[in-house]
Amino acid sequence: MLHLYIGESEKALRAPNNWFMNAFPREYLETPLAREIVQGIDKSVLESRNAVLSPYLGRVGIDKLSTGVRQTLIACFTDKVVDLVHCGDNCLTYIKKRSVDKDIYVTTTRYVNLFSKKDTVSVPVIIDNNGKIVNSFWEYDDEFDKFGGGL
Amino acid sequence: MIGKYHLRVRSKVCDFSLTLDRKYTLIQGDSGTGKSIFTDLVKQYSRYGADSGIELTCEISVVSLISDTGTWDTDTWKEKLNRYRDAIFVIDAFDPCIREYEAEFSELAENSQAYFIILSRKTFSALSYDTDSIYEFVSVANADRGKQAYTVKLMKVYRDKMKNKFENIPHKK
Repeated sequence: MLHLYIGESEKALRAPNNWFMNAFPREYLETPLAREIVQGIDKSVLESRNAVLSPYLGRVGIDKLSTGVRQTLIACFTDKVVDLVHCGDNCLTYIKKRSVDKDIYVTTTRYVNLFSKKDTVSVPVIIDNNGKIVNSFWEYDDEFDKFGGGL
Repeated sequence: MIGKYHLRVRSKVCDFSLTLDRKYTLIQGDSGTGKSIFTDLVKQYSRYGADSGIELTCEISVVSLISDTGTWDTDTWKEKLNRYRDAIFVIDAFDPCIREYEAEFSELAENSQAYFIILSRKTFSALSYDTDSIYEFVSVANADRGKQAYTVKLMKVYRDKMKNKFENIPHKK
């Protein structure tokens, strides 16, 4: 299930870029899902635990992965909490897909539409502020108004 | 400070060319479009100047709020904000001035005459910007081998994409 906390949370990683480089278990980078995420967001090929083939930069290390990819990988493979302010809308599909078979905890300090019509994946979201489960855009929007008025 | 400013940042790989016509320019958009690369280039130039190998051309100085040693401390960014009157400040989503010290930053920015490029998806309720100030990066591949591989330009989110945004919201039943 996808757990969303609306607003600032102390549980969210403060320096996800650094956490990814220093503590993310590299064995996850060899899974098909990690390759799909890097291909889908950065249009790059994840060649090994350490190397990425990017159409923009050529063959580079994983330190050149975008912030969005790093956040998505952290959210999909570990139990750390990430803030969706650092994830673009193109990351949400992968987080939602993964939430079908894993509990994912995210927070957000920006307005994020988890029920966009453009997205083919639609999963229920638990709003962690009050524990309510939302299944559609309008239910989600009401909850967002309650807790994230200024976002 | 009023008027238009053209800013061009070039490295071996990327060529960013931006035209700023307002005090605040917020750059948002999808992940992997080059926002972090842009701030990284400006930070490197801010610290090492032309020795960094980066070509930065602009009518006025372009400044990142990091200190000279490449680290963050509260006094440095405040001092820099006060010192540069005619300048463009480039601020990244991870910079502490918009994370921990947003209120103080907003006050200083509002009183400043400088221009600001803020690369964050956050909403800044205390800054006076409007929808025309919100952009995203679009990149174009160059076939010419002598040039940089990619040219990156700005596109207005709420003029060019507003129609699509509304289409993505389902109708209420």
